[in-house]
Amino acid sequence: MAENNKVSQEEVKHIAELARIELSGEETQKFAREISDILGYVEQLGEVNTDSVEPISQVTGKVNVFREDVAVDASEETKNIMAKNYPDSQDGYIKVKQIM
Amino acid sequence: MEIIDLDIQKAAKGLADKEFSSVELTQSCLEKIKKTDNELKSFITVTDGLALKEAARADERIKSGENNPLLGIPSSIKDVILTKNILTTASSNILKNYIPAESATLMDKLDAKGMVMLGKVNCDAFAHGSSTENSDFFTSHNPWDLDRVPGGSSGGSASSVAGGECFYSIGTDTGGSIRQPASFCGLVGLKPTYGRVSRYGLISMTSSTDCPSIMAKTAGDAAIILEAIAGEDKKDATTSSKPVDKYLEYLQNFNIKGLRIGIPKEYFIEGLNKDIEESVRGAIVKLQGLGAEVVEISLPHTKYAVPTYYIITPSEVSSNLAKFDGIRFGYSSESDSETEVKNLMDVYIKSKGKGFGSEAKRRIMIGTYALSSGYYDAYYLKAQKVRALIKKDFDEVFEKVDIIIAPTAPSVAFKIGEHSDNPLEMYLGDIFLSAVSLAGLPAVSAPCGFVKPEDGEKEMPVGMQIIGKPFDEKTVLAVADIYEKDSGWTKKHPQI
Repeated sequence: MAENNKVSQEEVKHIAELARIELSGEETQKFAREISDILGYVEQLGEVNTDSVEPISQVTGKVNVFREDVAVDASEETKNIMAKNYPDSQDGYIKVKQIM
Repeated sequence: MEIIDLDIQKAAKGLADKEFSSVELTQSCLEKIKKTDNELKSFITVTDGLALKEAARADERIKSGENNPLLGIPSSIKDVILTKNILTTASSNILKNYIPAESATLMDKLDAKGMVMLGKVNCDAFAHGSSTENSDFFTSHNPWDLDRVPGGSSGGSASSVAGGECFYSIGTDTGGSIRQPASFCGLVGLKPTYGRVSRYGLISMTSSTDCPSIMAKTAGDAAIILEAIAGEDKKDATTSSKPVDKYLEYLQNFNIKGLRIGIPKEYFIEGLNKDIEESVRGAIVKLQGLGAEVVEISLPHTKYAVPTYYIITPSEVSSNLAKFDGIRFGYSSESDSETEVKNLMDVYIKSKGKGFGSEAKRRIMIGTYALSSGYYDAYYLKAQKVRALIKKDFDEVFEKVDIIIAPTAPSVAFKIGEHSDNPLEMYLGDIFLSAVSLAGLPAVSAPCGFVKPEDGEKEMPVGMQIIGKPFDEKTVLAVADIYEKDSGWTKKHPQI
C-alpha cells in the first residue's frame, strides 16, 4: 500500500506498543489509514480561534471534590466474587507472570 | 394481558387495584420474551428465576400498603450497567464471563423501589456504535420492522420496551445512545444532565459525557424513573448536589403558555430527510398552537461538534479500556491454551489483541495517538477548548429561549447491514446528538410521527429532540408530555 497516509505504519506500531495491544499486519495497515482519515477530518478544528479560551474537561462546574482517604475492607462475599473473576490466582490473591 | 398497551402508571394502578399481581405481570413479560425474543434479540441474559422472586417480594410490599409507581414493575437493564452476581458483558467477548461484585448505584436505587429486573439487554460492544451491529454477540431487531436496526448503542433497551417485553429500560447515552434508538423505535428516551444520575457502576466509555439514561413509553414514565435514580452519590464525584425535582408533579401542573422554543438553523440542513423535517416542524407548529413562542436561533460552533467529539471520545475510551489487560478480570491470554504467553507483557498485548473487537481497537488506537506525547496539545487540548465554545453557544442561546427543538436523527431506522457509508449522512447522524453531549445538557427524544422510508413498505417512527438548560429535565419532560397527550403518537404500537 502506498504510504501517503499522515500516520505511517511505523507510527501505528509505536502507538500499539504504548496501548499494550497486539495488532496483526493487516490491522496495522488498516489503522494507519483510519487514523490518518480521522486526523484529516479533525484538522478543521484549526479554523477555530481558541487563543483566549480555557479548556473544559467536564461541564458541571464542580472542582476538587474531596473525601477522607480511608481504606474500607470489602465484605467476604465481595472478595469471593472478585476472586472468581481472576484469570489466575492463589490463596485468594491475583497471580501474575514474572516481570524480570 | 398485553404489556404493550400498558405504561408504568397504568400498570401501577392495576397492581394497586389488585387487577393483577406483580408475579402475573412478570410472567406475562417472561412469556412475551419467550415468544418474541428469538426474533427481536433484545436480551443477552434473562434472569427469570430472580425476576419472579423479586415480583413475589413486590406483591408482599403492595399488600402491606406500600405505594410507589415502580414497585413490582418489570424492566430491562443495558449490559454495561453492573448487576451484582449477574453476568454483565458490555456485549463484548472480553467480558463475556464477567460477574460483578457490586451493583451500580442506580440499580441499588431501583431495587429499593422494588423494581423487577427481567434481564440484561444487548448493545454495541462497550456502547461503541449506533445500531447494535457492533455487539460481539448478535444484532437486535427493530419491532416496527424486523429487517431494520433498533438503533444504538442502547438498542436492546429500545427493542425490549417497544416490543412489549418490559415496561422500561435503563441504558446509557454518551453521544446519543438513548436518544437515537428511542427515535428509531417510537419511544421516549431521556438523557439527563451530566451529573444528575450517578455513573458509579457503569462500564465507562467516555467519562466526561457518559450519562445513565432512560428508555420509556411515555414522558410521564420517564419522569417517574428519573425521580428514582437521580441525585448526588459519594461514589461519583461529578454528581450534583442540586435537589432532585418532583418531575411527575411538575408535568401534571405544567402550562406551556409563553414558553420560548429555539429552532437552531444549523440543525435543519441539507441531508435531513424532508419527511422527517416536516414531522418535526409539524410538532413545533402544534406546540405553538398550544401557546408556546418560537424563536429562530443560531449555534455557530455546531459544525465543530463532530470533530471535537471524534477526538474526545476515543481519547477517553482508550484510557477507560486500558484496564482490560488480562490481569484482574475478563478474557486473559494467560488462560487461553491457544495463545502462547511468555511474560507479563505478552499477557497484556495478547489479551487486548485477541479480546477486543475491531471498533474498540480502532478507538483505543485513535485515542492513544491523540493523547500521546507531542500530540496532546494539538488534539485533545484543542478539542477541549472548542468544547468550551460549543457549551458557550448553548449558554448564550438559553438566555433567550427555554428549550431547543431539533430532529433526533436525519433518517428513520436503517436496514441491518446497510449502515450508510455516505460521509454526509454519517456526519448528520452525529451532529444532532454530539453537541448536546459535549455540553452536558438534558435532552429527550419524543415520538413526533411516522415516515415510510424509500427502501421499505412499513412506516417507521420519527423522533424530535427537546433540549433543555442544565438540570432542567422537568421542562423538557413537560413539553414532551404535553405534546404526547395532544398528538397521541405514543399510543401506536408495533404488531409483534
